[in-house]
Amino acid sequence: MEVEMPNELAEKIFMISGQNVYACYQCGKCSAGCPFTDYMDLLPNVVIHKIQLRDERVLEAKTPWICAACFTCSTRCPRNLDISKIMEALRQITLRKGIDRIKLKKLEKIEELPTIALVAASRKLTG
Amino acid sequence: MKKMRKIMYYPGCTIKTYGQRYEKTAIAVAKALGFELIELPRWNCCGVVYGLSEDSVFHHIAPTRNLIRAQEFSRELGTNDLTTLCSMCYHVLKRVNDYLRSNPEALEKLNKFMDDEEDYEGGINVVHYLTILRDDIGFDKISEKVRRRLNGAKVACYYGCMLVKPRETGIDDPEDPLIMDELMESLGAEAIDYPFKTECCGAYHIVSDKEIVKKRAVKIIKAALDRGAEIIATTCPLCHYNLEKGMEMAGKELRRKVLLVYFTELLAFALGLDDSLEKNVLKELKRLIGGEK
Repeated sequence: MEVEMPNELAEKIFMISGQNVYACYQCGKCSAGCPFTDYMDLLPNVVIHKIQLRDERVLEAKTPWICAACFTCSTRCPRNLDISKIMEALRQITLRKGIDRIKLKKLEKIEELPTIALVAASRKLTG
Repeated sequence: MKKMRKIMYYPGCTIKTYGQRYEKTAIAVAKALGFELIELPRWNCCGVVYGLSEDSVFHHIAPTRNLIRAQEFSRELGTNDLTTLCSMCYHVLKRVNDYLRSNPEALEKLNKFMDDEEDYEGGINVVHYLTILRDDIGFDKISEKVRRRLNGAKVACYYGCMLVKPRETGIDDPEDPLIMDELMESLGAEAIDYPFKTECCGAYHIVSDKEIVKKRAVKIIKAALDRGAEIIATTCPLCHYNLEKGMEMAGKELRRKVLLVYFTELLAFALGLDDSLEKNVLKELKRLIGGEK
């Protein structure tokens, strides 16, 4: 699918996620319902806004790493944007450079954790 | 005797370790209700999380291999239905299956990549265990088989995320699911209405940021306790682990504890399948609900 994107960051996000951030009209519903905003540095709608403005600092934000892809925002977005896919794209931009968010070898008491958590964390937070 | 209906069963990694009590009760309950869960031969991890990058099918390989296993096994068993217990496994298998059915190019790519396997043709139906209970058995039929009514025990059903979201793969309404509540009512329990039944438990953050899980668990459990819940029932071993760990970490932040169970344990208790229940779970349920059958 070919879509003209006014900026390269938005285009990159689109290529990975298939989501056009310009569909967002900043209603804030994603941020209102997100169960993780207490731990985020940028609200989800602000993340989208920064991509619209090609503010590359969004790539340094904590928010995409806090997002656990629970799909609450994606289920509610009135513009049908899959915000969890946008967060995934932001993670992928870093992970695909070979930069991991967590060091698996440094995790403590790994034997106490259920497999399900370890597999999910390594898929989401390492490349 | 009526012939038991057989259905392919995908357990997943955590059901075989932390969540063994979930599997044991689910198998016993199925048998009592007239269907048999037959474990899929040579299954592998589903990958837990669905690959959300649209430019890559990398994360779809593991679940697709399981769908191929199911396709092979379906010929032997004579059914295309594949069921799971774990919400994470359900979401990944169901969503990848739906994706491959509607994206022939991706299916072709995966089939070419996995040239050591037969081609996947998209014919497997992924169904959650709860859906079978509702649609194939019927909650009214289950109610008739109850040997020990749950005496109005106050149960907060915790659905978490992956069982009901996204809308396309969820087994019930993503905002206000009732399937488990209705099942609990059919067993004689009182299903508690509380606001956080679909709010995330913190998921894999238990690996690297335990504080998040603790805070999530406290919020969810507190809301259930405030409305009188004595028991929280889940469908997901990760939710179960996180709520349990969160409750442990919270200590006195919560004014009392709540009994955390898998929904199949309440079913097993109600159907009188005591042998399938872990001793301490059985003891706690007897204490809360009463022991007579």
